[in-house]
Amino acid sequence: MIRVEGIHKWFGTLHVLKGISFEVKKGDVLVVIGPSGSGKSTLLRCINLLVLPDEGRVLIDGVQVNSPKIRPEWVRQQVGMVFQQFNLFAHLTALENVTLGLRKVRKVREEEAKRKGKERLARVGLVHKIDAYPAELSGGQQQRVAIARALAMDPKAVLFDEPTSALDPEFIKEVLDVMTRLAREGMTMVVVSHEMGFARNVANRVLFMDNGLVLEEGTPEEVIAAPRHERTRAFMNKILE
Amino acid sequence: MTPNPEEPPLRPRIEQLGEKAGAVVLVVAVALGLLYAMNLNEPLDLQFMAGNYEVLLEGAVLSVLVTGAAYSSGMALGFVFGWLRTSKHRIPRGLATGWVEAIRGTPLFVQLLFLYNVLLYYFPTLESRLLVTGFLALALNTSAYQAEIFRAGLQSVAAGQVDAARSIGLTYWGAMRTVILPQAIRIVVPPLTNEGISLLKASSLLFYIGVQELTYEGRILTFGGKLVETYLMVTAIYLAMTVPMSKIIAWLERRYRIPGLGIQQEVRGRPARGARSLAARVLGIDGAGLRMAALMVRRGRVLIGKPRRESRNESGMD
Repeated sequence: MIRVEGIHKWFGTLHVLKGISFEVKKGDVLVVIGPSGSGKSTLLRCINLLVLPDEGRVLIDGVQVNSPKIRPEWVRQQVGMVFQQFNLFAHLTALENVTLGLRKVRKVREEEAKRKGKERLARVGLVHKIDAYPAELSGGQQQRVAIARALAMDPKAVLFDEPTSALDPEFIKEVLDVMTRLAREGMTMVVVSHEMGFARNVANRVLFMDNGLVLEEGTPEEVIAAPRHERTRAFMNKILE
Repeated sequence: MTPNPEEPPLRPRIEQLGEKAGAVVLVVAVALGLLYAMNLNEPLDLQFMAGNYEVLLEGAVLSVLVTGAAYSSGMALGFVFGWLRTSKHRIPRGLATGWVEAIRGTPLFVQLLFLYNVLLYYFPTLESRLLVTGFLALALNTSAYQAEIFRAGLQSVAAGQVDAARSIGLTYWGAMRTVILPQAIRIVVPPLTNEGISLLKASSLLFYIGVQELTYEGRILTFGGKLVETYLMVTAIYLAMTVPMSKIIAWLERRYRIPGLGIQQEVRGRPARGARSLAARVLGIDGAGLRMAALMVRRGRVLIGKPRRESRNESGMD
């Protein structure tokens, strides 16, 4: 479904991604881990072209999307994204946040957008908050609205950029629960996260990145429990302490 | 409800202080006026005032027209310059910055005289020269100040909002229209109002080149010797125009406040009609406040306002 081939990215002289390749099949949950600054977020942003890769190919369903012939807006409708800082639109209610893409991008009629928006909010357990503004919601609730917003566009896959690392501990579980349910329903997901419990229980593959390179890739058991690489082992020790 | 003698004293309410200060100024002014009127040697000539205010109102109409035209043209120009100042590209950014610096760094009065002579030199047969000069001077001047306001407004919208807008498939302009501008406008309205009021006051300078606006008419009237009467009327007319402007905008601001966002004011009992804390007023209006608001937004905090609805308080977290 998503294939990444030999991606390079430079920010000025900084070589952030040094040739990354991997594949995510339909229904896969890929968890990307690695120390901060290793290029995980940039990699995620390359997939939906929020950052344009300088070299390499990004393919969605076999079509190369980082090409001048394809509108990046179209690509971003196929692949939803959930951000570390939620990034809910501050001036819109929860429901308006979820329906904005339907109304302004898909040009769906108001009632239809509302119906779908409510349904998506119900899926993340927030029907009772449809009229609340982001500032009136807890972090966990905001992130769940953000997930509903991504789902409203019926994406083929959803990218999660450290979805729980800006949350207070008490709210992490509710977000992970929603993500787990989503994965069980067969959503294709790429998750940058350090939630090892989630990686163990939900991911079918884990990818360890360091310094712009993929050092290790495999099942959660292989990468988390029995890492082959020295750097991976050091990282796991630090994280699992 | 029995009064509790143990109850700690209430903190002074700044907004009440502000209103009191205003009231004091008014009372002093009225008292001075009465004193002057009671000076039997030379009482205020009320008959003169009643007989001549209409000329001044005609001048006021011209003041408003010139200011309004200059303000709106300046807004279009200012928005473009402000937007260019946020550009990634060095050349448009540099041009816009140069314009803002040049205008802000020179007195409006000098700009007016300069423009007058430039137009005289290049377009010696220009029709309604005075009005055109005055309008252009004000429009160009306000465009620089408004550019700064728009730049600050645009930049204070968090970068994550743009990412999110693009991640659901909005184009650059789509994101601008549906996400960035609606948020920036709320930040920009108070300083823009302030600029409008400043511009109306600044339009009084046009008397010097002979535009027959309020101040000009006032000066002509003073040739009759009634200086205090005349300027009392001129002042009152300016006030009658500026005070409602700020009231209307204050109402708009409350109306379009984003619930849950902003400096949370304490509401004790029933808030005074239209009362806002002095701090919020300062924050809303001047450049320092804007920068502070921008800073808070960048830290992922809040921007404007608080809801009036009490019920919002309970629904905050659960």
